[in-house]
Amino acid sequence: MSPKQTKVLLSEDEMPRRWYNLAADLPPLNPPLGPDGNPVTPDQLAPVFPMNLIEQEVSQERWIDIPEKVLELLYRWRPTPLHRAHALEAALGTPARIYYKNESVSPPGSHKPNTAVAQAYYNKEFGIKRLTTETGAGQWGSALSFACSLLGLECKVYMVRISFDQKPFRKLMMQTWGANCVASPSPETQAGRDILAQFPDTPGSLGIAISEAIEAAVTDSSGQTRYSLGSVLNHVMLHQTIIGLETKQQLKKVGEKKVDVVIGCAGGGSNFAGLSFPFVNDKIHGDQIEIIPVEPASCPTMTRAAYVYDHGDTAKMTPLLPMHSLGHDFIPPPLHAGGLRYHGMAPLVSQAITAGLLSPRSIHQLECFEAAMLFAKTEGIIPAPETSHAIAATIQEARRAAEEGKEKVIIFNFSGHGLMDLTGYDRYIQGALSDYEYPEADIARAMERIKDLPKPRLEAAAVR
Amino acid sequence: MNDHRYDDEIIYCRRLGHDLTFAYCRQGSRGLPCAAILGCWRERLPVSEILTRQFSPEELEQAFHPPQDKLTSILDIVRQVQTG
Repeated sequence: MSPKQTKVLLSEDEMPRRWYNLAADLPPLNPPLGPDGNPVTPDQLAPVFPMNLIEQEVSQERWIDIPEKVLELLYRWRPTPLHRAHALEAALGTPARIYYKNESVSPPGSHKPNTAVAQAYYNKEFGIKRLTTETGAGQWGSALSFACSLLGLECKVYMVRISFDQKPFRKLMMQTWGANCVASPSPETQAGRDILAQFPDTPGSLGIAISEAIEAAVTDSSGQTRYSLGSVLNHVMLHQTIIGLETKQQLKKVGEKKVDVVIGCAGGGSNFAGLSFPFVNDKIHGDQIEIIPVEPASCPTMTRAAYVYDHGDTAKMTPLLPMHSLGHDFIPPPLHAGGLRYHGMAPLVSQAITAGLLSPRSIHQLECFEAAMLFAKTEGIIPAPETSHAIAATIQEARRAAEEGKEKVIIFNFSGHGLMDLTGYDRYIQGALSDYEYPEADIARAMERIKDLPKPRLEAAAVR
Repeated sequence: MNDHRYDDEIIYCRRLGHDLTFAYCRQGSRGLPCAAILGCWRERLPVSEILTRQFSPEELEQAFHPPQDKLTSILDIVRQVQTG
């Protein structure tokens, strides 16, 4: 009897040679507006990003070649294995075939280096010597530190003070790869000094850390420093699509002709986009695939539309339904912005939701930890807290397949391991976590308050 | 009412990627609440009432101003740096 195939591997020469750009297959996004109210131009971004990345940011090309040098760097851990989750399937008693793309095998332990390496490469090609960035818990900071070490670039990471104090091991990872990681706010920038003068004991914030990182890039008189961002932007999503492109080749290799469900956790959207966008392309061209971005029920944006703006008039200047006003009396002022936006979410992911291509879902933390524990006990790998959301949704879908008696093919992105994030597991094991249900009465009261505001138009956008 | 009684409550922050206390979300880094505090805490705490007692309408407006597009916010920071 031949052994069951558990890992689907690709050789280096089977790795995709092009990234997929979803922007080519969606209606054009309204250009973001600059501080002067006019559309942002590439020249305005030049102090922050190298022009080769700016070109990718605004590109409408469907396929963009991956430079040979980037491929050579990615070979350190790519192609990543696609696992068949036989043990999880057995534990669930599901007829579904569950596959997960294991991005935790990268040296920093997550999908983040896929874009970090590409960004470091393009910066170096442009003559840049030093990159700056911000980080919270350090997943992105460690990925960029790793990438810079591969390319011989200096790396400066402004780590939010409270994270700097709470997550010392990621800070040490960054330092091991040669990065200079400082707590933000720092006395090294004007933005940091201003905050410290006003709030000497501040725990910092991502907003301050971003300000410091950008200031450090923009004020370098040599012109050889740029800023790097690990989520949200189009070029970040682009670089991550290697995940889904590899996955499609691996599925083909094991004879899977049809995918039923694709799942990824979605914070800023990059790991979700990485796996799903190539499948979104298939869906646009007629395939029946349910594509699910998953977020925490405790702080939802996609599933409870944290901030929704709508073109309420032909001039496309009317905002607006600030849904975050639900549950309190203060209604944020309107913002003149085109299109549907979700707070903190990549515009391309937001746009794909609007177009009806994605089915966002939120899941409570106890269910996520329960799923993570089951995954660790069956498949062996301890997932990152974010990754546990994708696993929980996968288990929901696998159980549904069992109820329906359908042999569905379910794919999810195992975006990172949780070995640096075990305190959450500790709290779960100790029984210190609980779920909270949103009171229906509060929803009713809030809806009454906003009933006269313009309603969002959520109909599916036309897809090219 | 003591609005600090919830300060040690813990939540996983999806922005920073680790656990935080309500005290951080309530006071933040510049003395204003985090813009995501309502979404994150409203299922657990009377957060809207706490904020209304602690902050003026102007402060709340500042804290909850709708987010800019990412590129717009980056350019805004660049402009602030360049104009001193």
